[in-house]
Amino acid sequence: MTKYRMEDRQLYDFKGVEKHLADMAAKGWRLERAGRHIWKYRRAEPAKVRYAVTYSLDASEFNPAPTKGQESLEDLCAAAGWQKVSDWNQMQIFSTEAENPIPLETDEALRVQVIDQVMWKSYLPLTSLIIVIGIIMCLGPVIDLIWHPVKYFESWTNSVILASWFLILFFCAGNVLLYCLWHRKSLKSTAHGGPCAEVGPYRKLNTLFLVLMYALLLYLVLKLLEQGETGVILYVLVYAAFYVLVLFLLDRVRRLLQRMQFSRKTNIVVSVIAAVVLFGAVNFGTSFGLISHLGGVREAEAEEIPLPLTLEELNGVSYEEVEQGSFPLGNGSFLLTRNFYYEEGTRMTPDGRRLEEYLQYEILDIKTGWLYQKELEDRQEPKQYHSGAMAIWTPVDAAPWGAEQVYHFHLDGQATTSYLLCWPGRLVDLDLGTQPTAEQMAAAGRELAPAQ
Amino acid sequence: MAREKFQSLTEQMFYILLCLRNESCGADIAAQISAMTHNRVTVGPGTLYNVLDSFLQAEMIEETKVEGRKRSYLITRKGRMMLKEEYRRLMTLTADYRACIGEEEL
Repeated sequence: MTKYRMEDRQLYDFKGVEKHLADMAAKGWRLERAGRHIWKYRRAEPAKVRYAVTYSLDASEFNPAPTKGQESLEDLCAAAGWQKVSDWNQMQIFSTEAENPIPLETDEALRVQVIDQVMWKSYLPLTSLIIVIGIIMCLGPVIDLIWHPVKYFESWTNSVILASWFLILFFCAGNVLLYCLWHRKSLKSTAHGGPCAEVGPYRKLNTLFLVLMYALLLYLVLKLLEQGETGVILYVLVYAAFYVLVLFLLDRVRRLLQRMQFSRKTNIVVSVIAAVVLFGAVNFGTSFGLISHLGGVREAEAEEIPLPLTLEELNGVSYEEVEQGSFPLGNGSFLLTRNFYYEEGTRMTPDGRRLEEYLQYEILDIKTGWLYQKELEDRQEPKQYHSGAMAIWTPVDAAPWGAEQVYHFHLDGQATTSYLLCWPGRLVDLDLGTQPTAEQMAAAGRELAPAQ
Repeated sequence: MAREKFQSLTEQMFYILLCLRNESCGADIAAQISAMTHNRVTVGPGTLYNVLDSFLQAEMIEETKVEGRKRSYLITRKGRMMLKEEYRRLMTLTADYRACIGEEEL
């Protein structure tokens, strides 16, 4: 009978591992193999078994067989009455049922130094890389949040992504910090002949990380369900399933190469190439599927969302042919929603000419004053485009529009057909295609004003 | 570990080097130290393995023989110098003690 457990141990927590394995043995579960995250136990008679761990710097999960160093260590331990149970990265796990065995480690200062070398060999470089990637991934959203909050809040997913990366950063940096503290305290203690320090609360940090990540995932799923995005949920599930499958396949590739006696270097190179190819394929495949899916959804939405202002309402005439649409810019958030609308129409003039007209506008509904003010101030700032053209929103009389404020867009001093209509909580960027008449202004203001 | 990378040796390192004046394998070293010190000093297998590895890296010992999985080691010239240096350091400590406290309290 076997049992698999997900273990969240750190390599430097030798005391924790030793105690945990002894407790498991007392309950009748003996460690058979320690995997990356899942450890395998077999049923046995409950017994008082002592476990001890030491470290072998040349050990690696990519080695085709135990190294000569590991074999020497096993022999030394066997001579002292310790049997090898398993290894986990550079950690070598031994057990004995002897009453007073010779301890595996008799030099605490040396133990601290070896553990530090092990941590720098396996855990810290990868974690540091994740921290750097995390900082890079957070940088864009944080800059948007500070300088372009409207762009940031137009999609609630931006907050979820930022929160996820913050959590990963917090988790990795927290673990590195806890290790550094342990290392410092242990150096101090062993320099005075004392034992290694007790480890910090890294397992509580792991639990907190998992709880927060699950909460975030739950929020994501509920929000997607609320927006009817079942396809995206399916995408997330398919992505997660493929991700697990790729991890499983990579583990199989590593073990196969081990069995085929390929060198550690070859195994690492092939595993890295396989990881890049497989993760690339999964990312490309699932992203392509998502884009196709969202494209279909947006087309469907374009037919469903009614336009608050149509050419017919604006001009008070009927059109022979009309093409219209609307789509959200981003998927909204608790602070704002942003939608884009357009319409093109063809009509015959009284003198028999065929006239093509268009109308397009963007409605930005903002629920907080500071964000509204920030967006308005940003708009009021004169901007110079890369082409050198100067863009300015000039205030004009708002009364004909029935709005609180109205700005007219000028490009290089030339008036355009674009206007910014402002009401409390709503900004409308409107392009009429022609300079509006007083009737058109009134009609646009009436239809585009927020509901009272 | 060796304080400041072998500027001085720990007790266990001192005895390991002392044993390796004659060619010995790991298990023999542990037994020799126990016998030499009447079990006062015990070197755990994990510690012994890592000390031997560090000494090999620092070229203080060399691998002389491999018989199956059994490996034998011998101290090098550099190792002998380190051992002698440690002996002198210990003698200096002893001499200083004698000078301060005197023979009567020994």
